[in-house]
Amino acid sequence: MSKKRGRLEVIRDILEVIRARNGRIKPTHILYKSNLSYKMMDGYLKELIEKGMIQEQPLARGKTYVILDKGLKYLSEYESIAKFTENFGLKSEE
Amino acid sequence: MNSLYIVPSWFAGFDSVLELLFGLVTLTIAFYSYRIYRLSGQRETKLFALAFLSMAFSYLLWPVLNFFEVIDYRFLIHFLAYGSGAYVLWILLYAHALLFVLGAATLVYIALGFKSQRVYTLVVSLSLLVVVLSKQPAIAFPFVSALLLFYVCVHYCSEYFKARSEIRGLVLWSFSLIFLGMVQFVFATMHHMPYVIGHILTFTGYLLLCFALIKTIKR
Repeated sequence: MSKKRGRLEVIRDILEVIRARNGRIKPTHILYKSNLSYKMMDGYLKELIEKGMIQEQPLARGKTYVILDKGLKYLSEYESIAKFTENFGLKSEE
Repeated sequence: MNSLYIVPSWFAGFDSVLELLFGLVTLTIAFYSYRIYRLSGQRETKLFALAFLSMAFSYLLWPVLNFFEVIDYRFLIHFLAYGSGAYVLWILLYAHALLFVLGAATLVYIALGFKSQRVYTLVVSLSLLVVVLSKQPAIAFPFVSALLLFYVCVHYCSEYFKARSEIRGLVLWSFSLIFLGMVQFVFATMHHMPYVIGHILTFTGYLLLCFALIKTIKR
C-alpha cells in the first residue's frame, strides 16, 4: 500500500503535472494524474489559485490552469521545504 | 514579582551574552521558517516562525533588563514594586516572561496538531493567565514554560521514533535540553547554581538546534 501523501507532496504533484504539460493543463488531466478525488482536487486548486501558484484561464469550452512563477519556485525549492517541515515536525497530512 | 533569579556574581554579564545568543538563534529559526511559509503557504511554518519570533524577543529583552539593573546585578536581578519608579522594568520583566510563554504555547499548539483558532487562543490565554494571575509569577513563569516545553519534547520524541534520522535526533535533543534548562530556572529563585546550569543546558540545546537547522539548509 502506498504511503499517504502529505499536503506539501500533493501540491508538488499537482504542480509537476501542470509543468509537465508545458505549464498549462485542463482539470480532467490533473484529476487523472494527481490521484485525487474531484472534491479534493478542487479544494487544492482553489488553494493554489489563492496562493498565487497557478491561475485559472477560461476557454471557449471549459478552462485551463496555468502554473505561475510562484508555483515554479515552489517546485524548485520543494526539497528545502520538505526537509525543513519534516525535520522540525511540521508536516500536515492530506 | 519582587525578585526573579539569584545570579552569582561571577556569572553576571555572561547570562546577558548567552541570552543574546539564544535570541539570535531563535530569530534565525523564525526567519527561515517564515521563508518556508512564504514558499509553501503552510500554516504550521507560519506558526513556527511566530513562536520563535516571540521567544527571540523574550530572550533579547533579558540583556536590556540587566542593563537597567546594572547597579544590583552582581547579586540579584531585582526590581522595585509597582509605583516606585521602576514601572518600565516591571513591564519589561512581564514582557520577557509572557513573550516566552506565548512562543512555547504556540509550539505546543503546533505539536498537538490542532487546526482550530479557538483552541489556539485557549491554549495561549490559559498559559499567559497562569503567569499573570499567579502570586508567585517568578516561579509560575518557568514552571508553565517547562510544562509547555515538555509537551513539545513529547511531540519531537514521537516524530523521532516515526522516522529516525540524525537531524530529528538533534531536534529532539535540543528541545529536551531547553526543557531541562527551563526546569532549572524554576529553582533559580531559591539558589544560584540552577541559574547557571539552566543557561548552560539552554545554550547546548540551542547549539544543537542551530546544527539541525544548518544541516537542513545545506544541500
